[in-house]
Amino acid sequence: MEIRRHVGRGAAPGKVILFGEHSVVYGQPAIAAALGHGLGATVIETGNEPRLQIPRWTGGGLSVAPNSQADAGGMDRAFAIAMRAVDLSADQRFSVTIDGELPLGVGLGSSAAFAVSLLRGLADFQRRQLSESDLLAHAQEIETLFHGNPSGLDHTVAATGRCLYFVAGERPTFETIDLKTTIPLVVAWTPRRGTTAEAVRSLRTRWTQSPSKYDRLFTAMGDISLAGRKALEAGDLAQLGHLFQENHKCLQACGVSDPSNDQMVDIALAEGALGAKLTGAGQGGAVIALCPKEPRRVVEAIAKAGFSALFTHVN
Amino acid sequence: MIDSRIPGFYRLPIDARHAEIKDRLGLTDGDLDILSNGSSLDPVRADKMVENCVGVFALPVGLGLNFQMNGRDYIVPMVVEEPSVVAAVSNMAKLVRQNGGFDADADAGIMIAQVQVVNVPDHAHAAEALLAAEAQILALANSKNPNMIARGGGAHGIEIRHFDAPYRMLVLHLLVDCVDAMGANAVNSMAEGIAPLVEELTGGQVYLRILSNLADRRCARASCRVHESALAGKGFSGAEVVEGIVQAYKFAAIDPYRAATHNKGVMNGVDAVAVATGNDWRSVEAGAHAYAARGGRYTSLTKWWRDEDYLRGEIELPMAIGTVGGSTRVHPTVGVLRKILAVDSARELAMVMAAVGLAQNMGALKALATEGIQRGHMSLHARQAALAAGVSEKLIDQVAARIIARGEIKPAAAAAIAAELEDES
Repeated sequence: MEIRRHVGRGAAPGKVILFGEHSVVYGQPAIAAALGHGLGATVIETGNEPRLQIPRWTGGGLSVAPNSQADAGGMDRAFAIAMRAVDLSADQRFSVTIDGELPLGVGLGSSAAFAVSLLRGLADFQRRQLSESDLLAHAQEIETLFHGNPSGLDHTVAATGRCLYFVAGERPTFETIDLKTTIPLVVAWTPRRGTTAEAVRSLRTRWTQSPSKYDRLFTAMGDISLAGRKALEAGDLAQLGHLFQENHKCLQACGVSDPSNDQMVDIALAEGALGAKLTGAGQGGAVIALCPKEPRRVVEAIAKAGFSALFTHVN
Repeated sequence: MIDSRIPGFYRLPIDARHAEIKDRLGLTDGDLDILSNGSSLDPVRADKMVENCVGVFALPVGLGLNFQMNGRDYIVPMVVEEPSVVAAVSNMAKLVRQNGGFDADADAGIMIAQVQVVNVPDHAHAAEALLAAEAQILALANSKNPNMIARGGGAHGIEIRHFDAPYRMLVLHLLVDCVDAMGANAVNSMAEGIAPLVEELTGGQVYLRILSNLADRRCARASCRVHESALAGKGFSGAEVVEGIVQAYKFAAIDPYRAATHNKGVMNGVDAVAVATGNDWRSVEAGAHAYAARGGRYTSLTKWWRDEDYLRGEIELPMAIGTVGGSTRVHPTVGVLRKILAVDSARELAMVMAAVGLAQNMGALKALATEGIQRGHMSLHARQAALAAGVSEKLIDQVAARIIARGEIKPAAAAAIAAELEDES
C-alpha cells in the first residue's frame, strides 16, 4: 500500500485530572491522565502559503497564516512556533487541519492537545522524529503563549499519553502510574464562569481567612490522591469510585463546585456511575463519572439535562 | 539466534521436549508449567471473556520445526486438533530450508473501516465534499485514538465507493494503519467518530460504521522453491511429484469446489498459528476466503509452477492480526507461545503465517499428488522401470507388482527381482 508522501499526521490526547485539583496548588499530589480522545492534525501539501485551519472553531471555523492575525486567539503565533520547531519556513506550501471533539476551556487540556498534535503533524510532514524532550519543550512554549505560566501538567500528559502522579513546585515532579486496567469515564461539561486563575485566587482568599479549615481539606485531598494511585495500580474500580466521591465532597467544601457541577455528578450517580467528581478548576466546567456499566445511559441523561457529555476512557 | 532444527524431536516424550526447548528458547519453569497445564486460562479470566461461561476448552499445541524465513529461523507454535498438520509443516519447511528458506513480506498494518451512507441526495456532490474535507476527516479520526499516532500509525486516507443497483448507497472507506494491533476496536471507534461529520458533508444518513474483514491493504506474501530432486520419494521421481503438485494447483485455480478444499489446507496452518498467538482466526479466515474470490470467482490462494528444475510456489492473503492488545495479552499460554515464536511485530507475524500457509499447502498437495500417482500411474510406472531393466515380456507384470509392493520402483530393483524370478523358474 502506497502511503501518500507529502502528508503529515499528528494527534494528542486530552487530559483529565482524576484527583487533587486545587489542593495541588498547596503542595499536595495530584493525578492526571490522558483521555482516549483528543485532537488530530492532518498536514497536506497545497499550492498555497501555510495555513492553519480549525473547522470546528466557534463561528464557522478558523483559517490563519503564521503570525498573521491578532484576533486568532494566539493560534497564528502558536502555528509560527510549531513551524519553527521543525524548520518549516513560510515559503513552503502546505495546510494543517486540526479537528476533534475536545471541548475548549473546561480544563480538559485542549490547548496542550492542540500544541502537541500540531507539532506531531508538522514533524511527520517533515519526516522528522521529535524526541519526547523536544516535543515537551516546544509544547511548553505554545502553552506559555496561551496560559502565561502553565504548570506543565497538561502538555506533559498530551505528549506522553500517560497517567501521571504530579507534585507541583519550583521543579514539578511527574511519576508514571501504570494502570492495571482501562478506566471507563463519562466526561460531562458546561461552560465555565471565570478562569482557572480566578477560581484559584478566590480559594486562596478563603484559605487566608481560615487556613486551618482549608489545610485540613487539602491534606485530605492529598491522602485521596495517594489512595487513588493505589486503586489505579490495583485496578480497583469500586475503590476508585468511592475516592471520586470523597474528593468531590472536599471540593464542595472548598467552594469550587457550583450547582451545575453538582447536578451533573448527581445525574451520573443516579444512572449507575460508581463515583463522580468535578475535574479541573470548577465553577462550571467538567465533571468525570466512573461508568463501567451502561455509560451511554449516563451520557444521555446528562445531555437531556442540557449539558454536554461524551464517553471515553483512560488507559 | 534460534535454530529451528531439533533432530528427533518427534520421538521424544513431552518432558524431554520441554527440556530441549527450555534453554534454546529461554523459557522458564513457569512457562513450561503453563504449557503442561491445559487449563492455564483460569475460569475467572474466562468468565470475563464470554457470557454464561461454564469452563475452558483445551487443544493440543505442537511446534512446527525447521522453519526458515528471510534468513531467520522460527519455531512455529501451532494450536490445532488435526493430525499431520504440524508434521507436514515441519517436513515441508525442511525441504524449503535446504533450498534457501521462505521469502516473505507484508504490507503495513492497514485496516479498512467502512461507513455506510444512505439517502444521499447527490452522490457526485457528496463524494466531492468528502474528498475536499479529507484532511478534516483524518484529523477527526486520529483525534479518537491519539495513541495510534504516537505508535506511528493512524488514519491516513479515505476512499469512496458508490453502489447503485440493486441498493443505492455510498460507502466511505477510512484506511487506518494499526501498526502492531489487529485494530478492530480502534478502527470501529474512528468510524463511529467520523460518522456525524460524514452525515453533515453528504446530507445522507449513516448506518453501519465498522471494520471490513477483507483487509486487502494488509496482505502478507510468501514464496519458496524446492529442487525437484528433493521431492523424489516413495518410488516417484522428483519430476513426477512436481507435475502432480502443479496439476493439483491448476485444478484449484479453475474449480471453486477444489479451491475451497485447497484453501482449507492453507488455513490449517494459518489458523493454527493465529490461535497460538491469540489472534481472531475467524477474521483471518473471512479475509482469506473473500480475497480468494476477489476476481469474481473463488480460486486458489496459492500458486505452484515449474521453473527449470525447481518447483516454485507463492501465496498472498490478507492478514489482519496483531501482536499487541486484544486477547493476545489475556491468555497465559499465548504469552508462552509468543515467546517461542519470537516475532517483533505484527508484520513479521503476518509473514510467518503466510509462509506457514504455503508450507501447509505444499505438504497437502505433495501427499495428494503422490497418492494420485499411486492409484493411477503406479503400475505403468513400474512396468516402465521393468522395461528399462530389460525384464522379459512374460515377467513384466510380476516384476512390476513386486517392486510396487517393496516401494522401490527403480530399474535396479526390477532387475534384481527379475533375476530372483528367473532363478525360481
